[in-house]
Amino acid sequence: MLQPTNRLTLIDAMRPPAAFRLESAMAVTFTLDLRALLAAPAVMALTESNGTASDDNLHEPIELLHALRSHANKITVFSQVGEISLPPSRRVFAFLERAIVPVDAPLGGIVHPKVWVLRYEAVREPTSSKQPQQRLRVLIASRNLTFDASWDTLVRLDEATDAAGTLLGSIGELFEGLFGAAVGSVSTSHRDRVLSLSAALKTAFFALPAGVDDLRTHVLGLSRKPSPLPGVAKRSLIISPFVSDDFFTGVCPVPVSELVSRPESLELLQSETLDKVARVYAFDDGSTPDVEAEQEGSSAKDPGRPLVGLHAKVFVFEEGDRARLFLGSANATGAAFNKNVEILLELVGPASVLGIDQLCEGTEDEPGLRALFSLYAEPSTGSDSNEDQTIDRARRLIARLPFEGLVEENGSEWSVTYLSHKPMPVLDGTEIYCWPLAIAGHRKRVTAGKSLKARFETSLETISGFLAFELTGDDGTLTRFVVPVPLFGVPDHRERFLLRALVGNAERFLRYLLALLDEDWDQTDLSDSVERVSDDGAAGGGPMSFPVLEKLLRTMRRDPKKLAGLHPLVSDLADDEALPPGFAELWTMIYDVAIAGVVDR
Amino acid sequence: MDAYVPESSLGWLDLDAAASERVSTLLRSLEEPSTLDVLGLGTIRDALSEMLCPGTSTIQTRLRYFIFLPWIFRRLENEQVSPGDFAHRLRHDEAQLIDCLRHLGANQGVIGYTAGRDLKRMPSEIYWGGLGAWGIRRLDLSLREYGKRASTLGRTRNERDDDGDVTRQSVLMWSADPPVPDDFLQSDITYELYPEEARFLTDCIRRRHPDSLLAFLCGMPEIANGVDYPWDLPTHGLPDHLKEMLRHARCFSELTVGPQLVYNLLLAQRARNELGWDTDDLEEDQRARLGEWSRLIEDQIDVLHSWGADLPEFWHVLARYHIENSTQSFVLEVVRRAVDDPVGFPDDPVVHTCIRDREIRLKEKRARLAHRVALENWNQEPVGGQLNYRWPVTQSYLADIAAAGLLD
Repeated sequence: MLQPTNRLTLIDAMRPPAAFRLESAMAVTFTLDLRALLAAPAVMALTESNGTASDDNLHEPIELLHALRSHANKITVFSQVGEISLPPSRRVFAFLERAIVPVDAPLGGIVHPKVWVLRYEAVREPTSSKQPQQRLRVLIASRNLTFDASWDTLVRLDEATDAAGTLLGSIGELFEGLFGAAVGSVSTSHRDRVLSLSAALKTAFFALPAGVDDLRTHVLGLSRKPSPLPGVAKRSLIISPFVSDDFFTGVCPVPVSELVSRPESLELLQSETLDKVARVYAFDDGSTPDVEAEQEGSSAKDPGRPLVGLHAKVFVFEEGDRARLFLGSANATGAAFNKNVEILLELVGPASVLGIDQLCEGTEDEPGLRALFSLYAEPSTGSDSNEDQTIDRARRLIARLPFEGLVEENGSEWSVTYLSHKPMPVLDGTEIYCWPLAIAGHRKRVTAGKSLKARFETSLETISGFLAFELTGDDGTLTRFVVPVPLFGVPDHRERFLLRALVGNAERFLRYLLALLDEDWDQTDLSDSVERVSDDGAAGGGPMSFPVLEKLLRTMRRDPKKLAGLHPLVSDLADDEALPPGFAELWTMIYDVAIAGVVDR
Repeated sequence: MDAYVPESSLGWLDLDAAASERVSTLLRSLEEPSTLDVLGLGTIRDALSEMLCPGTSTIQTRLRYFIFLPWIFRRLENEQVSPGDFAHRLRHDEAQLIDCLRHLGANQGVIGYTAGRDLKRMPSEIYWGGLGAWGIRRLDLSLREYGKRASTLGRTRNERDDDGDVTRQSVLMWSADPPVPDDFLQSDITYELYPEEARFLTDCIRRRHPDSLLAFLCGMPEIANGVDYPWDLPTHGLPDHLKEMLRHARCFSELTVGPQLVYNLLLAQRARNELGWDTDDLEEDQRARLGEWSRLIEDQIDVLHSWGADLPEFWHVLARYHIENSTQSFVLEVVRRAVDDPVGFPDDPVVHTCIRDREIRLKEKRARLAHRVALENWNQEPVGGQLNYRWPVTQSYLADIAAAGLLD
């Protein structure tokens, strides 16, 4: 089951079942890379209806843009305050602004789970009045919403077709709790989504993975609870990238047979702690630490620092021929079990399926996990402590401030003034710069001890609901991060203008249109269609190729509202002269029919 | 509708390299296109690079891939791998190649050092063009087409001619040399060429591009060492047509530094005036470089002046590359002004107009000197640099050839 060769990707795990599409989703993560969040909507929209893996070559950027627009407002992502890494400076991230809800841990630790709850809905004819079938899926990972290349686990639980399996009501409670732990106000659409999905989780049965007899979920850190780990076990294995002495004294008094962790973490343990464990291993997959981050002087806990090597958190306890396997977000630390928000899934089954040997030993054909364990030898010299650097503390302080962005019209252009209603912290020797994420060239120095008031002139398309920061300590370490800022005074047409700027030209518009019209039906070879159109254009022939025209006519008949919704964008592009030749005339004719169709219903 | 089947499971979470790459592509292509060639001089640069060092490319990191890849392909042909399996087997073998090279460490030109088997664009794709340019690959097929036909190539077939006699035909994609070692892909390898490999490559280059600088240097590769630009090579023994080619390359390279620096300066000034950005450091830096550049021009004024006065000769040399008229007019204008007054060049309003118009023509609404929205997206990084026509990668190839110890 957890052989090194059994590998899944998060994107595959999120792909809708055949003939279904995403209805809504909620997620929680500790660190967040906005690029990884961009990847999620892409897989939602562009799945072939027969469920086979799609050919990557078909996924042109403009179709991904469409996917992003249509799905970004179906998603709620809870993310630990101060842990959003700085992505490249791009306007397209604006579509993610409303999806993110920063949260803080009620008991003073961090919000650490990495969970997705997805609800899929059967694709149906727009004219059908039947309620479509819905199915839930829950994903529990040990990796955050990033593109880290680390050893992490993933558990996927699909809703069952009958009332058998396990209930996951506590996952719903986790998200309701996160909602309560939000920093700042949360929109009603997020609230409604969380409540709706939690309610569905209370009554849905989930199929167990093969070989698992029972499954329980343990949510830590929303209120004080005892540790879910067993008090006795014949044999035990703990795999955890981070470990602390207080875990072994306070949380898990059961003598541990085997412990696997990173050498850097093991070095921080006292000898007495190591003596409690029968065999201690360092995890060594040959990955190299990130040289670039070291050279840049990134702080130790900078959210943008890529993680490699061991990151999975696995606790296995065997008694007789039975095993209890705990997987999730909790490390073997006191913080995880006492003050962080964490989730651990407990899978119960035969040791022959879930036990330690099954996990670690290889077969004739494949090496097992044990091949990556090497016996740990305590170094003679002590090592540096794992204390937070000042700069990392500063980042969290700043990210917690209540920010606001006021958008104002400024003649023919616009401006955004970013305000913090509380003063920026005073940090000796630290330089602070900020800038709107979309305008990396325009940084402003921030004064410590005063409330932030930074005004940036901008165009409509470049208005940014993410404020980027760079902090540099007097020892040269730096940290960069991004904070979502609620915007006030944004004109309604901002998104349309942004979309127009990103779509930009005729060829890309056609791809966008095809992607939009293809949503509900079978995938076609989009690159073929566009090539044909370009040829027509060059020859000065008819404006439209057959596939585009056919789809427009079909949509006109079946779903005229969709065409009506496109009209403002088409008008904008017509003004920019960015439409393919002849398209504007064609559109006028089709649109008039579509509009009449909408009115008639 | 297909029946819904729950697929609960647990396993290890792989890095999704495809998703990561898809997002990178999205970010790159939805926003500003690459602005490295801000003044649209890329066609001339590429033309001169092709004439001097054909088949080279900065992404073709190490020379010995020109040997490794035909070995991989020939093995696949010998095994008659079916069209359906070809892509998969090729990827598998290339992943093994990465493993065999990985011991060399980072920054040695190992393509796929970090991504390993998840690498999106494997060496076979990167080198396909170069393999054709040097005639190592004999048939003009795309990689995909080759994959479909690989199982039928290399086999000798019996055919009957008009008299009913059997003749043997074979269609060969690759030469039989150098022979594939028995333990290829089973143990670690390096980029060091064997003498017969170096000889094979130099023969190919000389056969296909006998008049190129690269072919000439194959005969004495050691002289390329430590030379910053190809025109700094010792000219003794260099044939006249190559001296001419290098003269054109040098003059174009040196004269076009100025306009790129002025572009950066104009951007910085505009950002300061219209957006209120603090660009003092950047402006100072670009002005300093313009000072150096004008001294460089003055030092060589005679050579550059006579080159600039005879641009029709330059276009004649590049005739088969079809340089657009608008590009020719732009080059004419800036070159004339640069040789007339290199010191006054940065502040010459005619030069400013010329550069601004050029950007508008190339990028329309995305021209930063004309459109505020485009300017806002500028990351304050200066663009451009002196053209070197892929000389560094050529030097690396020649160094590998020299190290193989050929006695010619």
